Order: sequence, then C-alpha cells, then structure tokens
Amino acid sequence: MTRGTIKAWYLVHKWTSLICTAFLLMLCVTGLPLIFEEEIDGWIDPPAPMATLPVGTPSLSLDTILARAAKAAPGEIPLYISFDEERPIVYVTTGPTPDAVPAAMHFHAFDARTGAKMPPYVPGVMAFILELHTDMLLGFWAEIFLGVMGLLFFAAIVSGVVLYAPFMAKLDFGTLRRGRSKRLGWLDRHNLLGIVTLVWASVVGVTGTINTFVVPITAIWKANGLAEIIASETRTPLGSQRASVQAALDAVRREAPEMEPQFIAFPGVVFSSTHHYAVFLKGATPLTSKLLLPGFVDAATGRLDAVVPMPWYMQAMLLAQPLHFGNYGGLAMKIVWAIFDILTIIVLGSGLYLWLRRRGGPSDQRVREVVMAGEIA
Amino acid sequence: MSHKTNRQIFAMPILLGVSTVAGLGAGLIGDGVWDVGAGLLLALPLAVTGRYWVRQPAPQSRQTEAPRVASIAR
Repeated sequence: MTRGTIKAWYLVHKWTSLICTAFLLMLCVTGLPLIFEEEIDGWIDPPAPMATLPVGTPSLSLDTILARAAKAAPGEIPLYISFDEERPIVYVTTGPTPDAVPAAMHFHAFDARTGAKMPPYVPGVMAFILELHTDMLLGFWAEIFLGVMGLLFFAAIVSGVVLYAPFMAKLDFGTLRRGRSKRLGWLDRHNLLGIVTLVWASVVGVTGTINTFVVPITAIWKANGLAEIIASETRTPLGSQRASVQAALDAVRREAPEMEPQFIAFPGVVFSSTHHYAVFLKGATPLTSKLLLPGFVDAATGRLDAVVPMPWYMQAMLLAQPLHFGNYGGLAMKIVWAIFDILTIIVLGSGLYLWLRRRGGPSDQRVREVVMAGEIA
Repeated sequence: MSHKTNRQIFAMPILLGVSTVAGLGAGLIGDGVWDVGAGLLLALPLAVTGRYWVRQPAPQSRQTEAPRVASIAR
C-alpha cells in the first residue's frame, strides 16, 4: 500500500468517525438497556395475571373482540390487531384516523378467550429510551439522519480495517504495548477491540440503518406490489358495513395452515391498502417467524384477493430487525450483545481520545504513525 | 522483525469474524441447541479479546526459553 493510499484511507477513517461518533455513542448507550427491554419491562411492570381456563379453551371471534374495543374507544377506528407470542392475548390498536401518528393511537389488550379487558399498556421508561434511540424524539427526518450516521459508521469500520493492515505489519495479533505512552496503549486497544468487534458492529450498524428506512421501503412496496392488487378491478365502496375480520383471518390461514397470525392491518394504515384487511402470517422458526406472508381480503365484500410473498427488499428489512436487536437467541445472546456494545463504546471513546491527543503537524504525521505502528519519535 | 503478509495479519480477525457470522446465523435457524451454539460462537471473539487484554507482557526470550529449560530439567 502506498503512502498516498494510506493517507486517503486515513482521511476517510478520520472524517467518517468524527462525524458519527457522538451519535454512535448515544446509540450504544441507549441501546444497552434496550437489549434487556423485555426483562426490564417485566420487572418494572409485571404482566397481569390471566384467568386460569382449561387448556384448549377456544378463542373468541375477533369480531367480538373488536366490538369490545369499539366500546372502549368511542369515536375511534381499529387500525391494527396483533397477537401476543406467549399468552392468549389480543391487542387492538385504535386511532382517530388511519393515518394517525403513533402518539394519537390507543392500545387495548383483551383476553382472547374471555374478551376480558386487560390492564392497558402504559409506555414506561423503556419506551422513552427506545424513542431516544430511534429518532432522539425528533421524528421521521431525525430517524433517517441516524440511518445516515449508521452508514458513516460502516465506512469508518471499513477504513479502519484497511488501516489495520499496515499498522499491524510488524505486530502480532493482540499486541498491547504496556508501560509505554498512554496514547500508544490506547492505540493498541483501539485496534484490538476494533478488529474483534468488526463483524458484530457492521451487522448491527447496517441493520440499524435498514431499520430507519422502514417507512420509505414500505412505501415502495405499497406503490409497486400492492398497487396491482388494489387496482385490479372496481371496488364496492367501503361503508360502515365491513366484512368479518375473523373470516378474513380464517380465509388467509387456509392458504398457509402451518403459519401463525402475526398482525392484521386495517384499511388505510401503513401496512395495508385503503380497501383491504391485510393479514400477516409468520412461520414457526426464529428465521421464518420474521419472514411474513401477507394475505389481502377486501374489507367490503370479504373476498380473499391475494396471498403474495413479500418482495426481497421487504424480507431483507424484516430480517434486519432481529439482527439489530439481538433478541432471537435467549439470554446468552443478549449478554453477548451487551458486551459487544460496551466494547464498541470503548472503540468509539478511544478513537476520540486518540484524535484529541494527536501530535501536531500535517496529516502525513498520522500516515507515518500508521506505517510505523505508532512508534514515532 | 519482518513484514507480515496480509494473510498472517488477518488470519485471526477472519477466524473471529467467521465465528461471529456463524453465531448470528445459528440463532436465526432454530431454538434450543442452536441458541446454545450461537452463544458459544459469538462468545469466542470476546473470550479471545479477554485473553489478550489481561495477558501480562512477557519478554520474547523468556517465552521461548522456558519450555526448553523445563524439558532439560525432566
């Protein structure tokens, strides 16, 4: 590698890191408790006890549950129905309009077997931390901005790996020169931690960026794939008389009996057309449970219009979620996630320290530092 | 000290990277034994890091001399 090449990569590493470090530190710090969101939430707000009923007690019709939700939220319309993964609980999200912002929505929980209303979900401290982590409480464009920071972080990782080669040319893997200058010690630690967290940080960084593009990616899917289904023929206008949601779910499940319902999106919301119940089914393994299969049922007539697998970019987006959250491999994986997260904080912090404590002089000095493994007089 | 080749420099990072990727994948494939495997594969880079982080510096000569002395003594 010529000095010119090293200098170019050094400048990429320096600038991408400097721009993204403050935001990445915020993401790593807020992300740390979010790894254990489920445990912390369960500890702060233990799940409400449910009536003990014989195993195999059938669930009520979703239409009955919806009628109860309508009573609980007068003047609002149902937007989503979702299903608890562990307990027989049905969640109904209501709002004033289909395009209501999340803050204007209401979340109702019902015992699927009795229809009894469960204690409402109260957004607590973890929901607040999640909002900070997602968009710093500043909305859509801030979320996209953090996605761009994730891309810069990835560029910083790639350029760091390129610089690792000339730096390590005369050093053994894992060399930590002790008893020398404090800066040299942190330069070695920055290199060791950077190279071992490389894959994890890249995966979590890139999947995090993908997660910030959920709304635009979903919009592309609606504009392409969904448009065909919607435009296929003239529709009976949607009046106050709607087709049965339970029948819609049953119709879609008949097409894929081995799958379980994940959620149902009502006409007009992000995940549906203006005219359909969109029933999303999920598979049974950790992998297939992320790959959703949507079926579209005409909300006026109850006719099943289509069951179409999602396009690759939607599948990739859905698969990015567990890879970002680290919530698919039990407690051991969460602990691993937390340690990697802390190591990444040390990489970011030491990188900032190395830059603040750099010796003066032009950036050629830094190139010398790389090729001399930090040993400059 | 001579220049190392890229292969020498990146042998360990690639091993740890492959272990990380395999761990991330294993967790997605299934539960139970797959999750245990995922945890172990993901923990390998962390264990290696810990090993190098705490290792006390030993002069190169003593490291290579010690076993020979030990075998002579036996």
